[in-house]
Amino acid sequence: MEHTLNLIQSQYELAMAIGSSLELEPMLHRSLAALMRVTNCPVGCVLFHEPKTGQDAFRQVFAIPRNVEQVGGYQAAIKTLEVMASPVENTDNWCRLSVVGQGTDGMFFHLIGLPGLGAVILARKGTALDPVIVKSLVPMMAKLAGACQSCMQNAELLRHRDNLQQMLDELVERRTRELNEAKDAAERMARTDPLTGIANRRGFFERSDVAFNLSLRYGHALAVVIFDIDWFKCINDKYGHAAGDHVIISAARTAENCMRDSDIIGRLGGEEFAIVLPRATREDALPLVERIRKTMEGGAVVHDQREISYTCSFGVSELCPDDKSLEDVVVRADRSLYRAKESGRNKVVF
Amino acid sequence: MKIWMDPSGSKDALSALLTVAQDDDSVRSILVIACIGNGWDAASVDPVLKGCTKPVFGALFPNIIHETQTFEHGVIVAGLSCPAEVRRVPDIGDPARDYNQVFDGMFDVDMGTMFVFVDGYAKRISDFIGGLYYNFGLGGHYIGGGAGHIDPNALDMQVRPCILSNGGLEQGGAVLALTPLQSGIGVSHGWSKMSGPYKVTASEKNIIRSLDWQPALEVYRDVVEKAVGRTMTQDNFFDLAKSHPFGVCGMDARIIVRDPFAADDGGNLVIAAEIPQETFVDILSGDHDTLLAAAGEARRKASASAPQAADQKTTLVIDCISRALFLGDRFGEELEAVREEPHPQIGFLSLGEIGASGDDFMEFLNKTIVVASLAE
Repeated sequence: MEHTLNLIQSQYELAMAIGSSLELEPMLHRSLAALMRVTNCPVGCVLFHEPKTGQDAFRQVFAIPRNVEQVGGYQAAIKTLEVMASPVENTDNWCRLSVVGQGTDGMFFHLIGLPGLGAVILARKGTALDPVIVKSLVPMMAKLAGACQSCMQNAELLRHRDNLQQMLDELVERRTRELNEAKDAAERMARTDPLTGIANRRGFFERSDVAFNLSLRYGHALAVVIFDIDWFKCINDKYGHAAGDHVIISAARTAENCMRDSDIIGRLGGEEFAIVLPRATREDALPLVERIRKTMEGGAVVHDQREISYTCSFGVSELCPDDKSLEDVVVRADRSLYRAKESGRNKVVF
Repeated sequence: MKIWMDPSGSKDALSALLTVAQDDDSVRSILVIACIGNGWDAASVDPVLKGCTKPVFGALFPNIIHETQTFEHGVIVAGLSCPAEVRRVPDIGDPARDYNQVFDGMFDVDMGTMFVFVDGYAKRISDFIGGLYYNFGLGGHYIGGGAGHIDPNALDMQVRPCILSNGGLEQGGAVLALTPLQSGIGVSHGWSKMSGPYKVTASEKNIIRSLDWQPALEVYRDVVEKAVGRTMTQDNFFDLAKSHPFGVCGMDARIIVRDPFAADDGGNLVIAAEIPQETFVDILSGDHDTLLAAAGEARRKASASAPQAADQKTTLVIDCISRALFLGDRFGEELEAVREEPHPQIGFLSLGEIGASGDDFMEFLNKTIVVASLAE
């Protein structure tokens, strides 16, 4: 009666200890330690059956102590287990096994099937466990196997979740990068003239305002050039709008090639362009502008196998102490351009 | 093993005995067991321990045993003729520590017998013992116990440094000494079931809050009062509880004793080791004769499993302090019962016992006697 009560108590304690974690190793540690305590076995080991080609094999998943392989008779116990588990197809053959074998050093090994997974080995010296005790452990093995499956499924779910999370993170990162790139491109496009690739009116004034304010703050010189293509309507009328576009592109490239890196160029609209020359006086600007004018005058645009010559007129102004905004300097340059047009075109006027 | 004993327990005596042991060429490592009543503190003892040129390990206990006498003051210095690998493990109660990892690679020599001394008031002693066994397993034998102070009258729970090594005198930790000594170990207690089982329905570490869904103290008090015919109060709790410990029974009827040494104001029982929730416990009883018989059984087991061809043997007795309190005037008979003539006998009264030789599942024990026959 007392013995039966002990078994029932121990079964209850085991049932409570088994499956107390969803992580396999801590769960096995606690469950195996409880199993070893109630059976008073100093050696315990959980093995999973992993059939390999041509042989049956059991993989040690957890053992107390961890150097269980050094226990005399352990390897023989594994061999016994492999024999009992053969053929592997007949899992019932080994899932229900409950065998007692004696190893060296007086150690008794008890092999108890872990349904669908493998087996548990319990070992102790002196006397073997009562077969009634071993038999009472069999239902506990079903619970332990279920707990192991839950842990492995949980690990698989966590792996799956981590993979999904990683994929999601990568997707979010890629989409964020793409959106940032698209945003940058849109911002660039909003400030760039699509025909020539130089700044449009908005882009030009944004950058030039910065240069203007720096010049005002530090008292540096600044020159502004406004130029447009002479007789551009005639070019369009004579050669077509596509040819006119080529001329506009050529004018922009020619001016860019003559400028310093720090100078700012923009297409203000139609055939009209502007250049801001930071830290440049009128004397600095005039040779540069003249070089641009001469280059344009001496060159030609080839369109549909026809050479199209063109010239530009230039108005130049420089920053004055009373200027409040860049617009003031631009207005003066525009007036100079007007005078250049009035006085015969293909000229630089200050 | 060469044994020197000084009953004064002064730090000068410790220094003198250590000097003798160090000067003895046959001594290669030194075991020190001393009484906590000596009043040693780290400041006065550390220079002596740190200055020792040979490996030193040991602890301070409520009482020490020399032959068949116990002492509340004194020190025993035992010179081992074999080397010892000594390792300190500070603050074993650290909740963040993974004891499956702590011992990894700690020793790189084969085990014979490992001395394990832990601060008896430290938390997580069970985890510490579990980790120790998980890592070193059946490679050797383990002997030792819980060190520290216990005042039988006031149950003084004041924590004091009690673990000693070449690193000095420390508290809250443990010291391990791995030696090539061969040993025979006998473990026994002599307690048997009186009442139960009771399900531990609420517990936390070493505190039982409820048994069978009722306040633990009420359940325990009802049973003990009926058994002894006296009323249990806060003042006489330990006096009555010392004769009725708890027992945790396994499938093969092996009983692990768990010692309730105090009851708190909340009606909870404070136990000298952890008791997990959902465990079934019995209330045990025993008398002087069963305990003395158990002591004799422990000696026989130790003697039978010790190497018979050894040149010299020493008996190390690790006996629970509450056994001594329970046996009272007859405690001397327990020491006579474990003595194996003509071998010298030393030992200590502990706050929890450690004794494992691979025959049983290793646990921190209470109210148990461990006898080790050390062979050189």
